[in-house]
Amino acid sequence: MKKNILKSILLVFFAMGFMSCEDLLQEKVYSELETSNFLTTKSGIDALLYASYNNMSPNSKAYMITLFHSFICGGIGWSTGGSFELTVGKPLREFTWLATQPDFLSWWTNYYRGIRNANIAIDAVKNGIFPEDYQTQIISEAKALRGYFYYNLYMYFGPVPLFIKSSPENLIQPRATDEEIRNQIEKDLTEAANDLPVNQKLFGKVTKGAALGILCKFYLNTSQWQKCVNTAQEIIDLGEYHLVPKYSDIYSFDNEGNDEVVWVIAQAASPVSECSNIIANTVPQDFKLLPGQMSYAARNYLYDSFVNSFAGNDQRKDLILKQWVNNKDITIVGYGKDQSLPMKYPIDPKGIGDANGIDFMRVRYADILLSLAEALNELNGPNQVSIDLINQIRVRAGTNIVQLSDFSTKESLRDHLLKERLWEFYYEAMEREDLLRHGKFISNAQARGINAQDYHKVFPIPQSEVDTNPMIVQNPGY
Amino acid sequence: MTNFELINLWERYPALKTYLLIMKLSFILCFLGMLQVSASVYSQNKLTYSFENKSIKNVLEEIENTTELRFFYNEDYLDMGKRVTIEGVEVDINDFLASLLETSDAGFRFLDNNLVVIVPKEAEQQQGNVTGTVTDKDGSPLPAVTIVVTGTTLGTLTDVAGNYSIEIPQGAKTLTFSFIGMETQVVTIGTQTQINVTMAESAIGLDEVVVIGYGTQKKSDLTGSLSQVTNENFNKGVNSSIDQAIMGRASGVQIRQTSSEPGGGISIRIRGASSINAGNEPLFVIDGLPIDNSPTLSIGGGAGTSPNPNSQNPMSSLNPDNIQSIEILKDASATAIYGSRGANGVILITTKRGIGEKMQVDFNHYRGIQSILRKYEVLGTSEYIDVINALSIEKGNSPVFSQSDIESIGKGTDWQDEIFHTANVQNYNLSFSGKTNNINYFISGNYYDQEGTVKNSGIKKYILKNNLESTINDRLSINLNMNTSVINDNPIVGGISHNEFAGAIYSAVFFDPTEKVKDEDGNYTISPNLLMPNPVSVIEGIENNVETLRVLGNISMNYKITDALSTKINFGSDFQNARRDVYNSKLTLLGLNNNGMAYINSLNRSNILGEYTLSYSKTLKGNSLITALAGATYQTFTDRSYSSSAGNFPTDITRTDNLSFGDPSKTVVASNKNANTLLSYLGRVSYNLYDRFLFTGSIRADGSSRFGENNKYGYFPSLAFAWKLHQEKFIPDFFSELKLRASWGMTGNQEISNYASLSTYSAAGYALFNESTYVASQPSRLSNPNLKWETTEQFNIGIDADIFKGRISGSFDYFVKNTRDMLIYLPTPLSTGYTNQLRNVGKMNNIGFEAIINSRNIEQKNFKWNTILNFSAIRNEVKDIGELSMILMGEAPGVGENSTIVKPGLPLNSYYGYKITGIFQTAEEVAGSAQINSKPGNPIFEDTNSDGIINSNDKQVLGNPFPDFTFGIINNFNYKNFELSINFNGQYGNDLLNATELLLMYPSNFRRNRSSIQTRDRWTPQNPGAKWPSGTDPNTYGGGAVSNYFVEDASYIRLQSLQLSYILPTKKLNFIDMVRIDITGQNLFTITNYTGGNPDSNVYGQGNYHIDFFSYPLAKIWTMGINMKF
Repeated sequence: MKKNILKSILLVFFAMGFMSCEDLLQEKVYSELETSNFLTTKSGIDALLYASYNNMSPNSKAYMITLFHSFICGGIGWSTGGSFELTVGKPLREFTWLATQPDFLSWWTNYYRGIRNANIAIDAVKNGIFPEDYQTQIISEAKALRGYFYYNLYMYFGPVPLFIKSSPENLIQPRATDEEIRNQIEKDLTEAANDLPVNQKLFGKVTKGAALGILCKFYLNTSQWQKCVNTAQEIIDLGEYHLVPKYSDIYSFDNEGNDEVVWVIAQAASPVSECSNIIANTVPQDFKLLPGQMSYAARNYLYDSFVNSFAGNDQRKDLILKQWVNNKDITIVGYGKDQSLPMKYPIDPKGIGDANGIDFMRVRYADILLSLAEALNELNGPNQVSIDLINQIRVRAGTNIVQLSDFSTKESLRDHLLKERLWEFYYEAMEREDLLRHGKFISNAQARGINAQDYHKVFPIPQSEVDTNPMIVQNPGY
Repeated sequence: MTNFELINLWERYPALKTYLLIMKLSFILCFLGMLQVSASVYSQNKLTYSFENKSIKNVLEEIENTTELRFFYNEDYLDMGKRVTIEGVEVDINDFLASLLETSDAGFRFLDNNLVVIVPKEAEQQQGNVTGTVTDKDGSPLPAVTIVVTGTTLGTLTDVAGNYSIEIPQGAKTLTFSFIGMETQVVTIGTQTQINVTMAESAIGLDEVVVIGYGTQKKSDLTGSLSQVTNENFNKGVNSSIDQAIMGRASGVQIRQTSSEPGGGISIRIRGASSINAGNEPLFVIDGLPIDNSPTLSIGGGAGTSPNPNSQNPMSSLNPDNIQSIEILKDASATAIYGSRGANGVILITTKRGIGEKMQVDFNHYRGIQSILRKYEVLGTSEYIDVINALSIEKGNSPVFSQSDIESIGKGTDWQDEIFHTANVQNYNLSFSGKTNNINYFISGNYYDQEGTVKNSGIKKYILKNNLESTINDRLSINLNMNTSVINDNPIVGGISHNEFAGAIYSAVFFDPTEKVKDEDGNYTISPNLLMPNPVSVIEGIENNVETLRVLGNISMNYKITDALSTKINFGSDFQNARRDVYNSKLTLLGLNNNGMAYINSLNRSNILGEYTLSYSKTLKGNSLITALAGATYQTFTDRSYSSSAGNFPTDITRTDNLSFGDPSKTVVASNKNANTLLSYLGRVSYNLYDRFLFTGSIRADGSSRFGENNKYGYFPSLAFAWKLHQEKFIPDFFSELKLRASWGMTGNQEISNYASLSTYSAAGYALFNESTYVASQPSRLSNPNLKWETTEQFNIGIDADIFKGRISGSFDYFVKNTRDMLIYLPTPLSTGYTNQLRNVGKMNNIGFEAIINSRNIEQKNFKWNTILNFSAIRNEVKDIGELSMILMGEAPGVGENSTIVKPGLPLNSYYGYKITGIFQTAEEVAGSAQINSKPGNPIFEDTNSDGIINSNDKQVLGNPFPDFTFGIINNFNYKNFELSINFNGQYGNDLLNATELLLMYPSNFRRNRSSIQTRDRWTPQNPGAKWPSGTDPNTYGGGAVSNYFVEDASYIRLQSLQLSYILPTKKLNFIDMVRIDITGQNLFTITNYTGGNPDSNVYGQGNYHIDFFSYPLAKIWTMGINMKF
């Protein structure tokens, strides 16, 4: 009897324990979110768009490299030490960059992630459950970000593959034509500017002015002068932006979010947010920093020739350290050895280790003014409006004003505008695009004795993309 | 078809009956319920019969043909030819047999499942006590021989004088005497009260039972390919884990110690690498419990320490002394029963059980010292000064060190001497085993303490083992196997990072030898010229502790429904609770900058198993045997992790013990949970026909939560056939065994991360607005709802041979393993916003030959010599990777370059990079080359496509990471009480990327120390024939390029262990059974051309690409040990 009971128990185990548990194989997700419970909420769509914001400066890398790239290959300074010199600094100095260089990959990867996240947000918000004003808000922000990403990619690599849907039919896309990509950038930024508010409650979010600012820079760099003029005027007419009275205040911590900021990538020295490592990358290791702060093996120097180009009373050069006292109280003289330090960005009193919280300005009002001056010169030749715009900048810098009579030709004013821009925007990631627009990028490099060729005007498409995308055509020369 | 016709058919075609029986059996196994009805039918049945002048044998055969009764008898001593005439109607079977055998000299006994044993009459009744002595053929007493009452679990062991005493239960017929290395003997008890036995030495133990998936089998009946390593054959000396103990012992099994750190990572490849992105490590099954053997917590990362992909070995939680045997299942016939987890082979671990009435106490202890085999070859202080000065002058600068500098520097510092030391190791092991009141017990405690040869590193283990087996009655037994371990691990800070994150070994190699350890104020020096922590500050200033508590075990219940049919319920669980504490104090560069950094990471891992199996075993006529197995199993795995980090501490005192002292704005927390489930059904049928032909078929239907909605279940069948040729007349008698095996089967691989088929969103950093953070989220992956198993199809043929009664025996196997639907993270164009997608594409192939030969070269009374040789040669080839032409992998740490390639036609992860063809001698030579920016003294890279530029198109295949062959040679010599065991192992023909030397060639800072190998033969105008470049401005010559200079031949032969032991003459001491002392040396020497720390090391741990990067040096170990049995 006992035996039979036992047998029965065994049978029950066999039958019940295992036969009816098919749904056990349903995969249960614990620490991640699913489309069904995430993209159907406002906070879900918001978070997705935040990721797109984050992609502008993931771990600060894309932005730091943008800055270094421009000032090194623009020829006003150089970088030495650390692994950075090996992988990036030296190739940029010598125009020997290759498609395998990690910084190209970093741009490409992060900007395309930003595009992907913006695309998903745009499509997801249209699912019919959100109010119209919310839809407009998300779509306009996402389009501004997408426009910004495509504009950056276009400036670095030329036309790139276009993805504007959240689930593309084909994962493999060829490069768009020049016209297609320009149209997309213009469309995204224009549509965004139409719908975006002039002021956002949250500083750091894209505004109407920001979208217009990027659009203005896009028109400028693609020589669409009249459109550039119109857009710059539109920004000025917003009445939101003004020059900060003192040049060095533009970058001070007390003055973050000042009136000159048109489009900024916000940073903070917190371990979880996107902090900058600009100081750690700029100064030598023996530089006197605040307790608990450090710098890397790599440091960035300005050439003496650039330091010498400033007028004596130009306050903008006061942010360049020709000599300094190191942490052993020894005075180090960099000037004379092409080793002056660009100290435009302040040391963060809250910074720890390599973290620094200074915001990274992508478009400031001074840029809009000088862009307008340049576009007007291109359209009309030297004119008083351009001169007045330039002088607004020069007066703020405490240096002598220029006169219309100083410039007899369009070319001479153009040359001055380039110089003015280098003085105003050095170490702000503008050198490369300005030199390219003025047709000096290659010739200046050649004049420095570098074997620069026409093909260096665009960077190579990252090798990983070439390896995985059979439809992509590498830029010629690489 | 009526019964009558069926019976006729059976009579005409006996084979058909067998066939039908198998069919029926399979049917029964599928429908257990029906089986319950048919199991005991005949024992209550009546027979109607009529026999006239038939022999007893004929009668019995007739009965067998018409009923399911089966008879066992020995024709030699039973008068089976005696003729009888009997008849009866509806007679009880017992009465029938009694009358049939009435006049004969035989009796009978019913076993439960229709089996009837015909036995000599005088053997029917016997009980009492039997004593005796067991000796070997020379008359020397044999201690520790196992004596078991056949067919029961009752048993004992002989004492040191070879004596035993055993209680014989009623009905017992024979005693089985067994001893490893001896022929097992079965002796009829009869009326004897004293039985003395002389044991003969056996071959490799053909009748040994080996453990197979979900069961056991006689070794001689195996159809699959299996390697067994028993406790006596484990590697000698210090083994912190079981995988170390079998390294080099089994053919076709490559075990790499990827880090020589105590408790360091191990990577195992059984019959090659069969997957690119899914796991390649075998499945471990401990006493029937499949475990998740993936590493728990990383030993790097957090608090400013480097990430470390080379994890510690989770197998450390088992004590090798508690292991009875390890069976390694290799071919698909053996592994297909493990279905989706079988493709990489299966390692079955069987722990010890108690045997014998007498309690046996075992005590083992050893202690020893370890020292590194060799240091990294970098410049000493004065050489460094000379080289730095020379390089500075060559660059056109003034010398760095003046004469007065040199005087004040003095001897400088040998940083490697500062971090390496001679380290201690000790191990204590105590076990009690035996049997009392139907409970077999094995209880053991182990304490293991191994310091690392790098200061402040090491591992301490406390392991308790408890195996209990309780025989409730002759049908029911219950088992408990428990293993509890606490491991305190202090891994070094190492890993793959560099510069300020540098680990101890990295910084000791690179740090400026002109610096002192501490400055005048007693603080660790910080070099103004280097962004690198002082190596001693890393050792002293960073605390890195991992504590792992693991409780692993199972309970099972075996119930014999009938003698032929038994069932087993098995519940198992494996809980691991690991916590890692890292504190980076103000003594270090980063710790100082951050005012102390703390990080705590914890992991709770659970694995729960529920399993039901049913097994059937029935002996058929003519020495045939059928066994079958059916079962269902459910297993679920859950991981939960939590981490927190903090910084900016007012003081180092509280370390990780109170994170709330840290700056709240610097505190970061994270947590994660994920789980996966397997639900499977399995079945196997083996048929041994006439003890000549062996057939095995198995199938497992495996369901896994990890796979796509449309592909939850996979089916993994196998078939095998073996032929015992030695049973055939045409095979010469000197073959005691000659068996031919062939098998085919399919196995799977599901070792991918959870959720790979789903579209989910995960945290993606933060957006910053108004100086506040807003959590961002983005898609985790490009999902693939069609994801399914990776399938490996394997074909195997093998021969097992044994000649001259075991003097020489061996196994030889040839196999072809084809993997398809490979789970590959197929790179997607980055323009999609995704890096890759896990897809089932591609094919890979492994073809190999393996052999193991055991030879007893000399067998004399006082002197014995035997040799075990194992050899395997495996060729790996990637066949297809979908639409891509290649995938680059294996990032060289600190360099950022991929170093390996996955491409059809090549071995997986072949090394890939530039080829240096020489050194530029003159400016003219530079001008005419593809490297016009170079200088004399720079390396010349081969412009393979002759396009005048050196770029990634010029990369070429530089080497093969797989050895042509691996081998192990073990020699054991016995002279009287002495034994000498020498174990060599090695590999030939594989390459390894020496990324240490690569980084030394491209120091990212001028003042880093240099490789003495490179600087001693560096190019200068005076040394034009040099192998190495000038070293002047190394960044200007192809900085960081992976080249043929660093892909080194990693072939080696190593004296893995050497042990001399002596058994003390303790015969006269009653209280002690045996005392054995030994002295053991490990890793005494390695013959290799490889210049790095260890040709087995891999900074990527179990990864498929192998890169040596500042690896923990291999230690030479000397130990003295004692082993006592009471």
